[in-house]
Amino acid sequence: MSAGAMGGVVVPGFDRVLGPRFDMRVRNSGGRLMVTADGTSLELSESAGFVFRQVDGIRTVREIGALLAAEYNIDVDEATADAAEVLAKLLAHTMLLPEPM
Amino acid sequence: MTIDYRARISDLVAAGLVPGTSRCVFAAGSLVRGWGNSSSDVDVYVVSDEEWRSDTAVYTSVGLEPATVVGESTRLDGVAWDLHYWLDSQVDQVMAKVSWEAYEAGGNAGSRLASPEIALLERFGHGVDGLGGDWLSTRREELADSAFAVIRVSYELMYADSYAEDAVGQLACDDVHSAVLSARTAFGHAMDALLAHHGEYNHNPKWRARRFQAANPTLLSYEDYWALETMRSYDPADPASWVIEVLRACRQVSLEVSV
Repeated sequence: MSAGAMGGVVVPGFDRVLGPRFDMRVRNSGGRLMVTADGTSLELSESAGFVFRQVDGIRTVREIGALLAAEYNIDVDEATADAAEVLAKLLAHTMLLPEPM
Repeated sequence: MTIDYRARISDLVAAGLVPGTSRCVFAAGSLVRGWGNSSSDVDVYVVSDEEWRSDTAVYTSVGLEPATVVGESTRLDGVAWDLHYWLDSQVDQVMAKVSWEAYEAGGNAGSRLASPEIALLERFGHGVDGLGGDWLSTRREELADSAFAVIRVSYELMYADSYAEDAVGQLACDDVHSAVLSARTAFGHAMDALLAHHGEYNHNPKWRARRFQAANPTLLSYEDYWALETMRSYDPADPASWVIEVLRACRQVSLEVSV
């Protein structure tokens, strides 16, 4: 899978680079991330938090997937698809920028 | 400069500057931490059950009852000594402000702490007790069990967020110089949050480098911190790049410092 729609959420292509938002609130509570932007708050699961942390405006979705695979010792293709799905949801909630600043 | 703090506190007692009913007298501040210089003074905290009164006293507002703490200044052996007179009941009130109950009640508990109250608690950590007894060690234990660290971190992160948001908005409308100033301010608050997480609660910018070295956080090296603090990579032809570099560092603190 390289890109597509998933439950109404547009999944980014694997070579795409997303940007972190610097005008949002991020809090770490015992390792779990709570993110808030534009009045919406999400509590991220451990693995979603891992993906969120890797968005630096430089790494591609594919690179973030590789990092997720290494972190959780899972298949790279599966991890990349999972990472893309998480990123798509974060994008849909405006917790990330479609492109880096 | 080597000072025998216990001997000098005995001198303050002999000079009548310490009430006989004092529960604790401790010296603190930059000289005690080994950070002082020839112009530094020694801060002495006198904790008792009776209010200090004198014709030379100066009063500082606190958010407590009574609503002031009293100060006196004197010189011993060429060094200025600033005495801060606190009632034990005022210290109890400060401890209540940093309790877990106060933190969990919400409403930003950090904003209810006045600067003298933060300084008092911060100085428990390195204070040198002049009278003996267990008052200071007991208060240290209470502080270690309190929500003070998380309250200080939350407060500094709140301001870091606010200034980062300003910087982003200013960049968006090409007000880059304002964005630089906002980013600098956000960075200061983010660093104070990081240092509070490591037990360095003082928020006076002049000691931030010293505090950073004392805390030695793994999240950011001293060299990288100092490069940002001194704007080493700032390019007048491209201020926005520096703003984004700083906001990245602020975000990293929010991501990794647990509250």
